[in-house]
This record gives sequence, structure tokens and C-alpha cells, in this order.
Amino acid sequence: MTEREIFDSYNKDVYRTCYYMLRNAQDAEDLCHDVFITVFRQDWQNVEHTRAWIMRIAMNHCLNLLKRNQTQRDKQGQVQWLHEQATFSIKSVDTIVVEKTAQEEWEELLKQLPDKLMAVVTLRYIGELSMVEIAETLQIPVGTVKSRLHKALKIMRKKLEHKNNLWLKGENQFGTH
Amino acid sequence: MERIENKVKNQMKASNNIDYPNFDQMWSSIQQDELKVAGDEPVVLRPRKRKRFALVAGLSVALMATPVYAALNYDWSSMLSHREGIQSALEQGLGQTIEQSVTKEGVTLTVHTAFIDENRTVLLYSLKPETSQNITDIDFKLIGLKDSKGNFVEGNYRGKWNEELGEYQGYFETDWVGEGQTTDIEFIMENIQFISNKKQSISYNPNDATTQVFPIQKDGVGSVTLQSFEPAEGKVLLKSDVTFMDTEMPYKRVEFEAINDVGETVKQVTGTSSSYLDGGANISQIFKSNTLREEGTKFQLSYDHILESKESTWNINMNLFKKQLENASFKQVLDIPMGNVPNTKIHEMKVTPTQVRLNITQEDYYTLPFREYQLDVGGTLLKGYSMGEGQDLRFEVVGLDAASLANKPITLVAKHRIDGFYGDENDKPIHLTDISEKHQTTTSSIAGYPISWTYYLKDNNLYVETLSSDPMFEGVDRTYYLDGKEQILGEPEFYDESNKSMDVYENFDKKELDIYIYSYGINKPNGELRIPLKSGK
Repeated sequence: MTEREIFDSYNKDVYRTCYYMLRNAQDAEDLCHDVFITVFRQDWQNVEHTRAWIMRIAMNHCLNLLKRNQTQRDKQGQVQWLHEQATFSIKSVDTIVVEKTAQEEWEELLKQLPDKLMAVVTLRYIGELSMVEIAETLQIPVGTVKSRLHKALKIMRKKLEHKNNLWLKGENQFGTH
Repeated sequence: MERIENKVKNQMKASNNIDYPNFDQMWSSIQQDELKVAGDEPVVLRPRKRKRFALVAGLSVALMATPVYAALNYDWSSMLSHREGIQSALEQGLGQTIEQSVTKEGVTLTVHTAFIDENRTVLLYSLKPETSQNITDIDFKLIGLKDSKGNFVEGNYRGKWNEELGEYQGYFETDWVGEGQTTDIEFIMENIQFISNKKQSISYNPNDATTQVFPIQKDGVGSVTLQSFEPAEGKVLLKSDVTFMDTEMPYKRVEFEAINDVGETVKQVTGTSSSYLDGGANISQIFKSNTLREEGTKFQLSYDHILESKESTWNINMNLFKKQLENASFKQVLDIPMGNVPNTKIHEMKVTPTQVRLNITQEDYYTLPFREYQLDVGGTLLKGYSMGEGQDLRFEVVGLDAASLANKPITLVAKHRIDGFYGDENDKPIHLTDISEKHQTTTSSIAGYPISWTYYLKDNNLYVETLSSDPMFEGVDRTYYLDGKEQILGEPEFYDESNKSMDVYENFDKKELDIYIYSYGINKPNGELRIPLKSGK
């Protein structure tokens, strides 16, 4: 494989990992760029599990940046979320918009996962790493990987249930008017 | 939960959900080889975390007179104390003798014996340096197999420095098994490091409960920050936050040690637990308070450092065959429910002369709620453990003639049930008031079990301890509070053997707090499950 082929094969997955971890397109773009530079500066031809290795590097970059930007990001996230909530009930009345919103809402719900859970979820579903590989990447026990994944899914389910209830309420109100 | 898992997976995996940047432009910029964010911090590819060898006391396997290999006069029993099936097969002469060596950089790698069956491939090997002076352990950056197509195969590995023989002995175990009767493989180890242990005395004051910092500044160890807690009357929990100055050895073993006035090491109440972070480690150790306070007791930090690194690759090609172990191997699809464990089935049983493996399938991920597993094979009990990505139950075959497995009735015995439950946001929260450095207590109950809470500030962090007087209560796993809609989870600091646990909330500055239980466990020490898997012949 050439460097370009490596880049073409993994750029979307690396970008998505950065995007979900950082919740910010600009940071994700810059970091995605840096991940590949880091990859090419190393002896990447001799790495056995290229995919897992690149995803690990991506995750390490994300976690380092998050550590640096912690407080700043928290504030931004909250503002954005409040905004989404305010516009939500109006959108839900229109079923066509609901379809589209569902996608965006999904993104918003995902973005609310705490970093620790998000790291496990992105490595698992975007990076396609095994539980053991995730454990090694994040330096946590496999049991913790499992429980964080489980917890993340549980939180998503709960949040979706809340959302679905909201949608139902919206539709009912629409019907009675 | 599977549905939600698929939804999340699809959402994250679907490539058209988010707008991508201009990758062509990014590629041109990458050619400039200049980092945008990461600055001058290269991300180091971390080696696999090494599984440390833990010596299991009270070995149940007595080494029988071995009629097997004159060349093989090793005692592997302590190494294989939790892989008794291999030890037992070795004693019965069921392994394949390899005895091939390679020497590079003055270090000789020898593969002694191989075991290959339908469940796993295991190699017993040793590493012998020319001189063994001051070596207390050996580490390496890579261990694994290459199959005939050149694919790298990872696995579990454990090893131990044998001071008497001046060499390191270990095993490598993988679920990978070659197809067919024989298979060519290459065993590889890379970049071997000789490790030595050093002690550095520190002027720790056991009567001072405040945080104490000790600069070390040598052999890659930066400083040690010691914090003490009282997990129970008369006990002290010492948390050492250690920083490393280099990345050479990210999983350096570090321990706090106390030496009494007659020069003996003071015993710990429980084993040391370590977790490694970027550039450092957190070590927790519990001692009896009075043993640390005794007059004349001295304190030191014990740590590993690299004596010498040998950068090379050691590889041995060999041909493995299954013959020895394939007799008496069989597989049986069961698909029987695992008692009343929700959505859980025992899918398949795979029997080989060294191991019985039960494959467990679940519709929804659920931790198997038992502490102890046994396999009752016609009255002989095999001890079980859970391992692997799924929740395989594995039983090492020992004390049984391999051939008899096929004819004997087999029953799974699961003991000591512990069920985990999630708390609910609708539960009444526990109200913590006037939060300060003073230890304060309050009480609550969940599912009829009483819980006492102790909370206090220490170094700007809020510590929340929980304990129940009812031994049937397993403990509060984790707590959280709500910041708006967001759950802020506490970081669990330790679990005691009783049901005591402690969560920490860092940089905490509130005076009052409503705290919730995220999850907790209920203990049923007598909860036993027996599931017949196969009848005898």
C-alpha cells in the first residue's frame, strides 16, 4: 500500500472518530490531518494490524486534545444543546421535518455521551476494534470496556425513549388541534 | 439492547451522516508534514500491556513423576498454575516436544513444548541471557505467531524470572488453531528488555493524613504523591500517584513498601492494584494502620527499571501437529438456557484433553452473575474461569483421564450468585449537605437494604463512601449526580472485600449535592445453579 492508499482507506473512519470524540468539525479536520502525519512518520509498513493501529493513534490524539480543551468544550456543548431543544418541538410537528431531524437528533444524542463512553463506542463501531484491542488502547480492563459499552447503549436507549415520548406528545397535540 | 446497538452502529458507521472535509486538500497539506494541533508531541505506539505473572498460593497440582522428556527438567507448575490442563497434559506426555533454540544479542530463546488442539495453541518457552546479574524480570515488546500465510496471531502470555536458573520462563496461549492436522508456524519475540528492581527510601510520615509528595527524579521515575484514606477502622489505604519521566517503560511496576525495625517487609491487607495512565501510574495498597505506625518502620519505593534493551527479533519456525491431543476431542451443540439468567444460553461444548470450553450466547449483553464455576465430570470437579471476547467458560482438565470425558456425565455448577441492578433517576436522591473536609454521614436504603454514606472533601475532591450493614448487599458500584440533564458519574476509587466502596468527584466546589445510585449488587452466596450438559454412557 502507498501512503495515499492508506489515507484513502481510512480517512473517513479517522475523521468520524475525531468528529464524534471532539464534537466539532474544525478540530476533527485538523486532528484527522495530524493523525495521518503521525502515521506516516512511523514505520507504518511494518505494522500488522494497520486499521487497529491507526484507530489507536486517532484515539490517542483525540484524548490528548480533549484533556487540553476540557472546560472550553463543556461550555460549547451545553449552549448548542439548549439551542437544539428550543427548536425541537416546532420541528416535530411536521412529519417530513421529523425524518430529517431524527438524523440530526441522533447526532446530538450521540454527542452527549461522556468522553469515556464515547471513546469505547467510537473504537468499537467506527474503529471496529475488538474488546481486547479497545482495552489496550484505553488502558482499561476488558470488563470495563464491556461495562462502558453497555452503559453507553443504555444511556442512548434512555435518551431515545425520552425523545420518542416527546415526539409522541408532539404528534398528539398536533392531532387534537 | 441489540436493537439499540444496531442503531448506534449504523448511525456511526454510515458514511453519509456527517459532512466530510475536503480530503484532497487535506492530502496536499499532509504532504507538508506539519502538525496542526498536536504540536511537538509524537504519539508513541504503545506496546501491548504485559500481563504480569501472579503467583497463586497453595498449588493444587502436585508434580507427578514425569516419565516424559529427559531434556525437559523444568518445573512449569507454578507458571501453569491457572492453566492446569496444560500442566496435566505435560505430565501425561501429551505435548509435542519442540526444543528448538535461537540465539541473538546474547539471548537464547528456546521453545520447549507445544500443545495444539481444537480450542487453543500453547507454547512453553524460555529466554536465557548470557549473564543474569541483577536481572529480576524480563520484558519484551512483541510476542506472537505467524501462520503459514504470514498473518500475525496475538495471544495471552505470562512468564516469570527463574532466579535459580537465571532465565525467564513463560507460556504463550492463543485461541488460534491451525487448520488440518499439521501446520507450519513461526514463533516471534521482539525487543527484549532486562528489568531490574530498585528501592528508594522515602520519608513518609504515617501520622500525617495530608498529601505527601516525594521527588525521585531518577531511573525514569519523576515523583510520588501519596494520599492516605481510612477504608475501615484500623486500616489505611495508600494511593500513590507516580509520574514517569520517560516512555521507555509505560507499565513499570511501582510499589510502596514498609520495612519494620527487624528488616521485614510489612504485609499488605490486600494485593496491590495498579492502573497506568499516560506517563504515570496510580497504585493502591491497603495496610493495617498500626503496622505502619510502629516505631522504627522505614518506607521505600520499589520500582522496576530497564537494565538493558536488546533490539532484535527472535524467531523459530516449527511444524505443529494435533495428533497427540485430537483423540478424545469432541464438540456438541447444546443450546440450553442457562437456568434463570435472562436471555442466556449455553450454545456449545468443546472438549479437548486439556480444556472444556462452554460457549455462552446472549441476546443482550449481561454479565454472568456467578462468582464461581465448576464442571462436575462424573464426580470430579474442574474449576472454571471466564475469558475471551464472548463469555466463554473455560475449565482446565486435571485429575481426569482424557478418554473418560466422552463417557462421563457432565454438569455445569455455577455458585455464589451476584445480581447487578441499575438505580433509577426516579429514586429519591441522597441529599449531602454542608459538604466540607469534615467526614459526615447520612443513611438511605435501596431495595430494602440499608446504606450508610460518608462524604468529605480532600484536596478539592469530593469523596463519597458507601457501606451496608447487610452482608447480602454486594455494594454500590457507582454513584452519580445530575448537572442539568447530564449524569456526572463518580470515579470508583476502590472496593473493599466487604460491601464498602468509594467514589471520587474531582475538583468539586459545591456545598450541597443530590446524589444517586447508578448501579448496585445483591449477593446470594448460596445461589447455586446446576445444569446437566451431557449424560454418561
